[in-house]
Amino acid sequence: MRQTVSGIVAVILLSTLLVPAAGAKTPESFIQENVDRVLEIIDDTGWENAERADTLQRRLVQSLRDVFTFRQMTFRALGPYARQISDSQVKTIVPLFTRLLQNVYIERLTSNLSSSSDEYEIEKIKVERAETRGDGRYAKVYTVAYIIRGGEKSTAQLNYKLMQLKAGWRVYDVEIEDVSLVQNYRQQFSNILANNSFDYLIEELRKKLEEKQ
Amino acid sequence: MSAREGFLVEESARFFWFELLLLCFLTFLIASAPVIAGNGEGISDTSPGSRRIYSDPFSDEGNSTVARGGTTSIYDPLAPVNRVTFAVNDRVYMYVLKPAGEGYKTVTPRSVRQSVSNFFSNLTEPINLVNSLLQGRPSDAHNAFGRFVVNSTFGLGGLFDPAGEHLKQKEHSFDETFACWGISPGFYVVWPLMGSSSLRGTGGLVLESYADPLNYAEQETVITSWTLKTLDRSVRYIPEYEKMKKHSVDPYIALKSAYEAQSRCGSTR
Repeated sequence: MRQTVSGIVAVILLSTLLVPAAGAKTPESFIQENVDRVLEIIDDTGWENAERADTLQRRLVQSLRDVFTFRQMTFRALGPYARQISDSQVKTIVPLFTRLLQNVYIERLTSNLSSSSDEYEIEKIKVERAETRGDGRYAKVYTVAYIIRGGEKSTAQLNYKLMQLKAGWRVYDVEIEDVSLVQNYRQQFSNILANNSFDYLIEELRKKLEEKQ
Repeated sequence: MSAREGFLVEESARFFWFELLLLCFLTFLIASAPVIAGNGEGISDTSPGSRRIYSDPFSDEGNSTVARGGTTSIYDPLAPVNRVTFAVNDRVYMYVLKPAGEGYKTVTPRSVRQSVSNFFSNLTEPINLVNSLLQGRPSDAHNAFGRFVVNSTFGLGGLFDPAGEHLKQKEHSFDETFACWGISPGFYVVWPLMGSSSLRGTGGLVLESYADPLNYAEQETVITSWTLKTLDRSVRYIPEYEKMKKHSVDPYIALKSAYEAQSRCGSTR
């Protein structure tokens, strides 16, 4: 009897561990579904209509929030400084850096992913492969963006780094042609914070966002 | 049943319920681990400071460096001079090359510009071939060889890119090859007009200039090809450069970081 009940409990225990994993999306399917959704919004013909464009912009930002963990991206960009700043400073920098990252990503997707000034269109982004690390809690998904530029086809490498969070997979870094977005900002922030205060960095971020507007 | 036997049965039942409760508790604990230990975004970590995770298991800087807090960055003892050259280059890009590139774009049909671009790109294939071999990448060497042969013949001396349908260009520089051989970049340097490089990268550029057949032509041809190449690059790279500046809090460091990433061994460009 004891063995039977222990066995049942053990099965329940295992089930709680295995069922969410079986039902969860793979990193590849998570990225493919979400980039398809983002490209669908970008391809929408309503961008020229001001009212519709507002709705599309909101949908686009919401889609990015569903894909990225901007909080973790901020911590990674801050590097060791992430642990030295106060909670209120975290509350200040996360929304600012989130807006900057959203601007970068949207602009990359909508106007210039490759290195040409000619108008172009991203035909599709195709997942090639993925690798996992950290007991499957981290994944890197390698994708290729197929671009049509002035009638000519070209490709660009676009890799997503993901981490498993409570809400599922979320992207914490993007590599565009080998250049990591987060690493690039980490070097900038690190250089600024080595010689200046945190408030100076916040001010610089604000200035950058005002320039954008 | 004796009193002792009765006691044993009772003890056994108590132990059984205790074990059951323990297992249920463990089940709950494991199932809710992300909620308890996480921070709402959570990979397990309970201390408040360590919620701010910044390690990256995929970073070439390695867990080691990033997790311990540093950023591996190319040595930059010439930073003050480099920043001045960077500022001068910026003015030249914005006030000379950008307008020149726009003029070139206006007066030249897209198909012609594409052919100019293809022509210079085709001339880099022998360099890609040699570097692929030196890096032990036979597949990329085969790719470069195939592209060069097909585009030089069927593509009319490289003006067209018929090979591109099946063989995408894979760029490999001497800088990258030296990186694969374990040679350190030395230090960062910003050259007038050419921009970001390093001591190692400069050595690579010198070798590549020797490998460029146009440098052996008559002076007039050299000047014409240099002008066309500069216009082609202005059209292709200045908009990208402008975007980088627009989104960076320190464009000098942003460009330096991008150079480092793209000159690494195994760069996929």
